[in-house]
Amino acid sequence: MTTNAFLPDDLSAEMDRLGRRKYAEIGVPMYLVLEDLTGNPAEKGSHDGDTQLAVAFSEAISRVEAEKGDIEVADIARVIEVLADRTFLDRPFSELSDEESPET
Amino acid sequence: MSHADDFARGPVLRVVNYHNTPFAGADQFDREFAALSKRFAPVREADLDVWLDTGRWPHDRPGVIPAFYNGYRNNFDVARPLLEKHGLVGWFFAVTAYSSCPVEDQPAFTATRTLATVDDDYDDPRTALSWDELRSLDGPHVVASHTRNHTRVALDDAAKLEDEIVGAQEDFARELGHKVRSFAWLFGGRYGENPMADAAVDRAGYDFLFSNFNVQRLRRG
Repeated sequence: MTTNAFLPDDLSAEMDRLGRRKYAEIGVPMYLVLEDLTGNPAEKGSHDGDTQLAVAFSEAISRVEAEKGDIEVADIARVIEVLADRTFLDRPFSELSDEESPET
Repeated sequence: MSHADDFARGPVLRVVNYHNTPFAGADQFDREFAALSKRFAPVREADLDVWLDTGRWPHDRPGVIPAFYNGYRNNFDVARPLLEKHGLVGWFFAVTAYSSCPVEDQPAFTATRTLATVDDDYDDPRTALSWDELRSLDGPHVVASHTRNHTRVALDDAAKLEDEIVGAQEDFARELGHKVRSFAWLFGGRYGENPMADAAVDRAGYDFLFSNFNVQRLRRG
């Protein structure tokens, strides 16, 4: 049962579906956290993070951990990939690769 | 600090990672760039500086980075015109020895590295971005470093690390006339994980390090 609008009902199936694609020839949305190592004081506490994303990520990781028993780096990457695929646009980014080309 | 904490603390950057962009996928890339450009602003390294220095994103829309890894020729011929059609700035993470490799030797170069090529795009064996193409991308887009050889290196091999990290920067400086600011290590390693690699990154003078989950702005000097 989905409790978070960012996540699919069957998270594992969606992770598997995305993972089966030909990564060498497609675009893969990802979220990256920007981190400042310069010691610039303006950075500290002055950014709004993405709380909804953080909540969805935590829930997704809990679901994967409950199913698999442990979490690997690849699982973390794939969870973020699922979240990015479903939240960058108003529909899944991966759907764009399934469309027919427009008539010209 | 967990990834969830990182997302909550921010700032969070949107990136779309590409490798090859074959001609056969041009319509798809056109749809993707069109959809991204409706919602997001292009991003340059200076935007990341402003964001980190002021705590404010400098555009009215959030940004997106279409990142092209490995320096493939079809990035220039297929992706570049579509990026420009839709007003996006591509980030081209090139492999300098691949771009410097003689055309006839490029099939052997890719076969001995973790580089995948597309069979039907070209009649000749060149699959790498040429230096002329990289010079053309430099400015309208962002040219960045993705090592010199795109090959797995033992993380305690100081000479190889120097060659891949500093050597790549020397190639950019020679061919572009300036150092590049951003670097992506193979397989997504972060700054702070390996002191020997970090020292090489510092010596090379990169400002940003892209890894699996982060973009880190680095200390200078």
